[in-house]
Amino acid sequence: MLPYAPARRYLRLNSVPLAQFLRVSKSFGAIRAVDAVSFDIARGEFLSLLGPSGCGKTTTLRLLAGFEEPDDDGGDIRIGGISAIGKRPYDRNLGMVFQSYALFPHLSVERNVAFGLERRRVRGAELTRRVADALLAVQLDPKEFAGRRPAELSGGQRQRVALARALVLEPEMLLLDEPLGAIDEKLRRDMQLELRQLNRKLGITFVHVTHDQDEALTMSDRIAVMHRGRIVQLGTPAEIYEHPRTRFVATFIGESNLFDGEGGARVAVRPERMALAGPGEPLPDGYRSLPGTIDDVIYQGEMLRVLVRLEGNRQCVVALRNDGQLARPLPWAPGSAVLVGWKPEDARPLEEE
Amino acid sequence: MTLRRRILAALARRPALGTATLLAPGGLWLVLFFVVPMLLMLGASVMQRGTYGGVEPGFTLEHYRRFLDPLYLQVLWRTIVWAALATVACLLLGFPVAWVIAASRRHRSLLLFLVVLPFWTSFLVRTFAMIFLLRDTGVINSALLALGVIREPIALLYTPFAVLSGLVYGFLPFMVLPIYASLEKLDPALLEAAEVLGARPLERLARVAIPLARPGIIAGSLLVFVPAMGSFLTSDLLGGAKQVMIGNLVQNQFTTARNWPFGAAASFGVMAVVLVAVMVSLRLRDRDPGRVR
Amino acid sequence: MKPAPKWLLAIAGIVYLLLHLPVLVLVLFSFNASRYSVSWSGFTFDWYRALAARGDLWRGLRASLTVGLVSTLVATCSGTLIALVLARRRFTGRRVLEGLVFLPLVTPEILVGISLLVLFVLAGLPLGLGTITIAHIAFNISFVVVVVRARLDGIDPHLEEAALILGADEITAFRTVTLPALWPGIIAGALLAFTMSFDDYVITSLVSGAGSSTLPMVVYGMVRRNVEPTVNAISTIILLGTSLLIYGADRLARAR
Repeated sequence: MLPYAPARRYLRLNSVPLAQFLRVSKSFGAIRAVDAVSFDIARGEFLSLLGPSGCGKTTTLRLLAGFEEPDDDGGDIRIGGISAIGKRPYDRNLGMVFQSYALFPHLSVERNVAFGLERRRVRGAELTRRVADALLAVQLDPKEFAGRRPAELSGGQRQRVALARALVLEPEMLLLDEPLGAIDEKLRRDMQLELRQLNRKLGITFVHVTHDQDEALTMSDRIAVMHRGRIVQLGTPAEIYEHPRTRFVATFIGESNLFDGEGGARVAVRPERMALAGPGEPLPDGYRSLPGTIDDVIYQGEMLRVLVRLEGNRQCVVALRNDGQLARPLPWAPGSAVLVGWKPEDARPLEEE
Repeated sequence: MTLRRRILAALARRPALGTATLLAPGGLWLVLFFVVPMLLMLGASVMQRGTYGGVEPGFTLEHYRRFLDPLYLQVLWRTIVWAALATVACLLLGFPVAWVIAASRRHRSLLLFLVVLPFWTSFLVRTFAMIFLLRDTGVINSALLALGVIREPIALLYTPFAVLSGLVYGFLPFMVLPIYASLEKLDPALLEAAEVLGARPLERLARVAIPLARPGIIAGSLLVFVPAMGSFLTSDLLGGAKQVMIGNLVQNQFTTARNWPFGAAASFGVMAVVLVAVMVSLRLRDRDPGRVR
Repeated sequence: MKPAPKWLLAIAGIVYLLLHLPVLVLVLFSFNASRYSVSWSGFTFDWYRALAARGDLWRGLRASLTVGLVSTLVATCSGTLIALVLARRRFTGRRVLEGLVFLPLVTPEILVGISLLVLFVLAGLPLGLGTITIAHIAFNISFVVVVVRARLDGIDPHLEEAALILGADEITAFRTVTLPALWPGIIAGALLAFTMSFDDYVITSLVSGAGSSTLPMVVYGMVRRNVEPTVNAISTIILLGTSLLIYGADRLARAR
């Protein structure tokens, strides 16, 4: 186990952010990939940059790493309170795990992990010890893996080596560029939790880029949702999911039903916050309601998705907990007339985009 | 910071500088010893012919006018025809080879290597191999004589046939490789889909494979046609005095005839034809292949 | 792709035969004891022994080796640098550079040769091994760029970035990460360049003066005069040598 972990978390006074983006833009020719983005990164947190492809999340990460320099228009990136503009990646004391892992193919696992230490002139017994510790921290047995080549490893193993290689240098911040993209489903879920635990255990700040909203919700302390080069919302997973600010956030993270609310604004209601009342049944007091007919009921094990057709040929989705379809089946078949409803406070007003 | 780090940081701040430094040696060499000579040639083509070879000052278009004389146009025409015939022949012979290579799994590297090898070995030696085969005392004639098929040697060498054979033999690999590259990217599912839809083998070839391999076919045709247009050694060794191609004409102006400006003008005549061929091929390549006829 | 139909295989087979038969015949008859007729009269190394006695061949070989080594060295270094820029950097004028590198490969040799002749004469440079070397470097750069670039395209660009973030500066990253992966491509490019230089006739003949003669030029003279089977012998040796180099380049270019 890497020894420095717990001490770090408590030695810092959490009020000073570890890194800051201050109105940072990055253009490639005429395209503005990152557009006047500002946000803080708190020490020790797990921050995810979440968005569809082309939203600028990877460019933002690369700006933080130093692989790209921001446009010269007054924007600043500060790490540890000092401006990092013009600082090369090798002077920034950051770690990074790439989507393709970027393990050096001509070097063994041991030499890969040792690479950064060798650059810092660490040698001999100390080198070997630290490499072994790093491999153990990512659940790889040094005796078994040290001599192997990247080509001989599975995807999951390569990812762990990439992690070990970055962590062995005890960086202040670890950057992860869609690290779980190439891993299959089952292993991915395990790795998500492992990464989250590593962040907690080691006290290293994790900045993580992903397009998978489930992943972001699972792993992060905070999520920055990005769209077209801007951050559209920054908050905890609960804040993002339960209080989405724009239509984009409401539909990109989870599903939302969109309705017209008071005063002409659009509102979003999550399917699981919708209620369904059959013919002749009333909805609870105070609920907004709309009449409709059931289009389809989709069985998803844990939940039942009920697709309801409303006036004006629109469709909405109601998610009901499955109470056991075999023992207590839903009484409403496709075609039944129903009422859908929701509590007013569950209707999130959406801002103009 | 050390000096090294300082330099690297400065270069990182101005990436164009770093790029320029890396490009300088090779780039300058190419500009100086490829672009500049071409420009000089252009200039020479409109200057007066020097008394003892070389050029003398004085603008003139007489060399281009002279090139338009039927005598020389005939040579140009012959060159174009032969280059075109060689291209077609290479296409007919080369497409099956490219297909077979793309279709093979186990022997692919070997088959590729066997095509690549002649591509890179001495053109001179390979042309001599053709001479050895085709001449009156050569292998083919001797074999036919020995078998009693003919009574006298057939004139195979120093004929258009010899030049064409030499061109095809010399440039065939140039056709195979681009077509192979195109066919290799061909999704086998497309051919299977065609088969399921009822297309017969020849139909599948004509209406699916060939259109999809079009970029390779065009590239390969260009890679054969252009060098064939400028071909010199083949007609020199295999054609003798009668089968003169533009390449020989041009070379002659710079050696025996000592008429540089005319030679330069003639080369640009060839380049004009080549340029037209390139533009036509680019048009063909970028044309939408999906039109239903 | 589905296996090829029989008739296609047959045509391909014939083409392969046609592609290699002339050369095989050539090689075979370099061992034929008969000097003039094409009938086989016994196996002999006589013609190879005769080669050794020809001073002009030895001089030509030395000239070709010198020109080949120098031009390969210069072309490989400058070509590799160009390939690095093309594969890894963004910059304006990229199309122009690619065109510039591509042009020598598609321009007819005769044109390249005479244009260089014009340059050398107008610049007052004496024609000889020096001008030949200059010309060879010019066309070899393009070959090296193509081969090295192909190799670079197969190397994950993030490897260098990983090295940078681990504390290596650009030069160290290149030395410890890029170069080891790139070496086979560089050597393959160099072997190719050497072969192209060694075999070149057209351009060489145009820019060499009266005195100097590289091996291909001597061989050309022998071919022109239909000299006895010693031509077959020297051809065989040249073919063998360059085939080995090409084989090496082929293996290296495809090495992991």
